[in-house]
Amino acid sequence: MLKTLRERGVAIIYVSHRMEEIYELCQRVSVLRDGSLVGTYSLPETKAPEIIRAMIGRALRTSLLGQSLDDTHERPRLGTGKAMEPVLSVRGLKDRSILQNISFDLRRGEVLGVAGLVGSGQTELAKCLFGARERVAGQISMEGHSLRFLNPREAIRRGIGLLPQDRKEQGFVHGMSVTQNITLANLPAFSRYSFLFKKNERQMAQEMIGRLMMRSVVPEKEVGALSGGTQQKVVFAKWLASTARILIVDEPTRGIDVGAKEEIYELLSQFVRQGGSVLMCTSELPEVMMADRVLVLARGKLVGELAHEEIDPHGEAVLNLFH
Amino acid sequence: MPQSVLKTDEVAAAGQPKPQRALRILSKLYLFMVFAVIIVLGALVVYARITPFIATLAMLSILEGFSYIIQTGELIQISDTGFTSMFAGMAGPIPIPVIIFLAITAAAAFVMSNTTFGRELYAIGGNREASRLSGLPINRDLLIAYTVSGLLAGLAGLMLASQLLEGSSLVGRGYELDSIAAVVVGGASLFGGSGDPIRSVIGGLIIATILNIMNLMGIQSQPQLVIKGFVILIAVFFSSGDAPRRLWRSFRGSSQRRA
Repeated sequence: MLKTLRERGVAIIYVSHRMEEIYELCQRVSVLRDGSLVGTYSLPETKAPEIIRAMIGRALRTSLLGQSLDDTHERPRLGTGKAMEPVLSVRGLKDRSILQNISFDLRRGEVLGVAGLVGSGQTELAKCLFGARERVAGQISMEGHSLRFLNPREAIRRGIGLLPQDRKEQGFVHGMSVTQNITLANLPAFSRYSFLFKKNERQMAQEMIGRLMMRSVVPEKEVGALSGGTQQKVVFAKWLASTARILIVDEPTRGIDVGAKEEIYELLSQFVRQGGSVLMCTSELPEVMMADRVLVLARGKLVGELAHEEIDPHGEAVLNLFH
Repeated sequence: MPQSVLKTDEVAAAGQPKPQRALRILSKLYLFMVFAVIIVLGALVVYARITPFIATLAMLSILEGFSYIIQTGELIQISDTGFTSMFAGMAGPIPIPVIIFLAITAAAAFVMSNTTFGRELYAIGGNREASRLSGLPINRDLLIAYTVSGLLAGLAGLMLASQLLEGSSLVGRGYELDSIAAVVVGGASLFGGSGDPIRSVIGGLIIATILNIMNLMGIQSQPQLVIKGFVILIAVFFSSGDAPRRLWRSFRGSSQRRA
């Protein structure tokens, strides 16, 4: 139908992130990233990898702890690089819409990247593992215990935390204070017989503000009034306060300024060095490249797995799997 | 909701025979009825996911119908002095309704600000999805909230019936609007997440004071209703006038983030 319209002389703007559709329908493609125009390319002369590269960005200009991302330096790495025992095992996971037959192990002390173009199923995977999305098939087990009836409450009890992609809608309560948001997922630890110990809550908030470098933030401040980076730190602190051992982070640095980004990376790195595990869903190449191991998702299926060492400085190995 | 629960209870209360045993039967009946009604309503809202407002209106209609059926025409006199002195008598120099009112206000204020349950309610009202993803027991909390609200409405019904010495299906009409007015004047957001019991009580006192002034000025009850309506409108305007401002503020916040 679109083709018929095109032949009749109708100008069509087609919004999509699916390569096949674009090649089939379009003559030109403009790539938008983070709300700004990256470039316009004519089709089919421009090949897919070049467009994908434009979509997910080049190497970081400033990267973890100020190292530059060229061939001469060792690439920054968030995880410990030591293979330890698996803590979370997923077998044959399938959801109602996109995910199909997902199987992998997340190990202790590891940052496992889940890479893919936007809309490849990363967010759905993150939510399934946290019990916030229904799965229709597959097993999830944590340290040998099968998690059959997984919901967020159960996941949290087992020590899993989720940094959702949409902080404002899913991560924090806008009108509540920093303190109240930080203790929200672990209220029993700050109460007895359900009576709150506000002093302990405040103490925890003070500690987190220091530990997570939330400068000039007071515990009573409303989270809605903070910057994106600080809000993300508050959500992070919520999981530290609930003693999570596995963090599922979905686009952890979306909409965050560069300085706060680096601090988030540093926090993730600290978290795994202290024995935690991180599953990092991302559509940003620089983030992919910092993971210990990368699973590549395309249209809801796992299409490949790469170790940190197998990823070349320009990420070609990852890009080639995307389509 | 408060209106119908109230009526049904009055009528149920008034329908009992004289003996002192009546008090016990009565309180059992009262508990049973309020619980049954509220659990059903709560379940409809929490589990069947019927819009709370619609479920409340429907239940209001059902219960109002029942109260008419039970009453069948004439007023029901209450002559059980044990009952009336329990809910409308004096404890020394202080009227019992005042004691009940103070005790419940204090308890509600304490629960909302000092317990995990209160904190959870604020969180659920403020952002239900974030609360779910923080592992809060949303269904349990909402069911408790509805139940407590219904029980308190039932208690109000008992107090009112004792003061009037009669059960009538006509008393309490319009109270559902008054209760919204009190809470909104007290600064609670109809979108959830803000407000507190003390402020709601102040809101209620303001409304009651306005009504009382109008009575003292000798204004007829019909124009009083008109004025009350305007007071509610103005209060709601100011409370929802806050919403666009907040939206604007968060919009500004998010564009700063992107910049």
